[in-house]
Amino acid sequence: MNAFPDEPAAAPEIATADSPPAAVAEAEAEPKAVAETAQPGVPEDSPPRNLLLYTVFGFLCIGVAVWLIFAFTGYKDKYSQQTEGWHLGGTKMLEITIIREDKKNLACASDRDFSGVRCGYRANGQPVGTPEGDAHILQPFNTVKNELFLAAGLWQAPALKEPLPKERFTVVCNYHVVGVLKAVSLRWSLTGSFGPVEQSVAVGTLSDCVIPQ
Amino acid sequence: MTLPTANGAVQAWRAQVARLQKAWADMPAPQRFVTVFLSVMVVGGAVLRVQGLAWPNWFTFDEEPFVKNAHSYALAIADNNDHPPFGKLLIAVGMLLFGYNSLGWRYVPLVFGLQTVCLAYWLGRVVFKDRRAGFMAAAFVAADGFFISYSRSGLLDGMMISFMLWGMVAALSARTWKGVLAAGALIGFSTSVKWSGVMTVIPAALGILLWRRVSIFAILWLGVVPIVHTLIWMGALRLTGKPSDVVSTWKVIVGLYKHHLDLGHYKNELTSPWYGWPILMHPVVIKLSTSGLKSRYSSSIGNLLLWFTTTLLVVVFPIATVVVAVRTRLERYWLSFLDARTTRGALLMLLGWFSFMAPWLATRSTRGNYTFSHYYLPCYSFLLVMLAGLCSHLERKHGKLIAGYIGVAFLVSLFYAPVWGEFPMSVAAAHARLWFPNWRP
Repeated sequence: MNAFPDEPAAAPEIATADSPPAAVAEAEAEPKAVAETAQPGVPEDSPPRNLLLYTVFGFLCIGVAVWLIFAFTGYKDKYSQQTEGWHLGGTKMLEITIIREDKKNLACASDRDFSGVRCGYRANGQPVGTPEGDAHILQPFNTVKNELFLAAGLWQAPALKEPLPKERFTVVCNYHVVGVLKAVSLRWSLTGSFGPVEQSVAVGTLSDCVIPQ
Repeated sequence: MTLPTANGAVQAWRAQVARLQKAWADMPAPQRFVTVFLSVMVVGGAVLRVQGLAWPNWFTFDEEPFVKNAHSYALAIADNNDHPPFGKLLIAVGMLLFGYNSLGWRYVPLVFGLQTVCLAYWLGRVVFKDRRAGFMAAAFVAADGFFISYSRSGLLDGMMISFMLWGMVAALSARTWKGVLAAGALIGFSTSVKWSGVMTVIPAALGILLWRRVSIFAILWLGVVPIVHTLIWMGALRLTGKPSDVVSTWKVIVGLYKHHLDLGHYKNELTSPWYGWPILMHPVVIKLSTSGLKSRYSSSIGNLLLWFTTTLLVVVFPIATVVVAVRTRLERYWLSFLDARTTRGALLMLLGWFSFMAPWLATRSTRGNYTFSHYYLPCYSFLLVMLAGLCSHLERKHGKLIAGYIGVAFLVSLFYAPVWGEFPMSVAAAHARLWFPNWRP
């Protein structure tokens, strides 16, 4: 006897060799229980017999459909991670995350000079001339991928001469790598002190900066 | 078994279209509005999940440990993450297809995120024996930021709840012991993504007992859950060249369990206590990237209307049920409002909610407040299915009321879509949606 009117084959399947006799008895008792729960006039809609197969098939269809969408739209090439390295003498496009106060906040301290490009402070913390506004003075920045590097020339870019937003924003620039600093100290706020970094940091100049719109 | 012919498939398709046309013609106007809203929510939810998936092309939130360990499996390097291996193995499949990049590590979670919408449909339909309830459940899950944000990230939770719902659907639609075994395997997969998935056993077992489609002894087949879990773990250990016998695997599992109990010592500003989850105390912005003057947010904040309705139901529904059970003369008033089938389904979903809350209540003494809002994701999925069942039932008598309710839910989703789907926007526009400091990154 079947509890679900639109599933004629359901009950015999319950009484398989794997089911104990009690299961058959329960299956026989089932219509009463359902009749008690169903509200008159409300149609009862039971799932199809092979629901699990449907869900597995549906899952595979979703996987293939999404894969096809990404494959045909060239999505991977458009968005996937750029994996090229940082080469000495090379130029790399970077997206830098900054706030307008970084112009004064950020500084580095080192005695090394890279063809006129150098930190605004010596290793002992003494300032070198008047760093602000000098296109050859290095500052530490982070890319949007949280990659640390030292660069000069950001604030001299025409795009950053305009009134800058109060919130954090990003700038896209060409970064020309001129060297690497092994021992350098960084300062991240105007009143903060210099702290050494343990990693090697790329040194370079920024050009052609734009604020992405 | 015979394979369907092309002619048979076309005929079946035509019959289905004719059925839908007839159903549409028979619908009163409010139901038609609801149908349109629900359809747009499902389609819009799918589009929100897929578009711009790979941006940003660097790690966000907790992606880094999962993705790096997924990559480790491909290189046969040991996994040092504190979750079971299956989710990371699945993420690795996407990386094999698309490479070690943001599309690669977000592909599989996206597929599971889309599958979750389908499974919500089936669970709603199976629990309430009502296609409309299934349709509503799918739409609610599709158009909710909690699910959207986890579908768009290389994280484990979306996959865990997908297997959880799959296990529930399999358990409640099982007609033989094999169906229950399949449910056990799926719950085992869920557990092997995140341990909390094992809690699915409770509502699944009770559902099997209530639905009475198979022998009550068939629930013993759910005992396959720990076996599936252990086998997956052994396979993962073997893949990375670690000792993979049962004893060694058990030691790894016990060690990780102790580590989890000890997490209460850790500090994290994104934590929120369990009682904060139903009131949206601290939803997390899963993905945030700034480009130029615009930022893109993928917040895990849910649809506010659906969220607070479900929270209200968690409080009101059990109390009302107990009152009716004690004062039996109230039963006829209750049955004029909700029938026994809907009540039974709603209570089962509430049990699912409680089952997934219980571990965090039980371990509060050791874990303290080191808990996160995403632990509520499986709970919330049960509540949305419950809400769908109730809405579908009430729609028969109060069509205009439900049309209004779902219309507002649709508008809320429309308003929040930009902070769920990472649309470029100003900080001010984001703050207009993320009202409280705790809702913001």
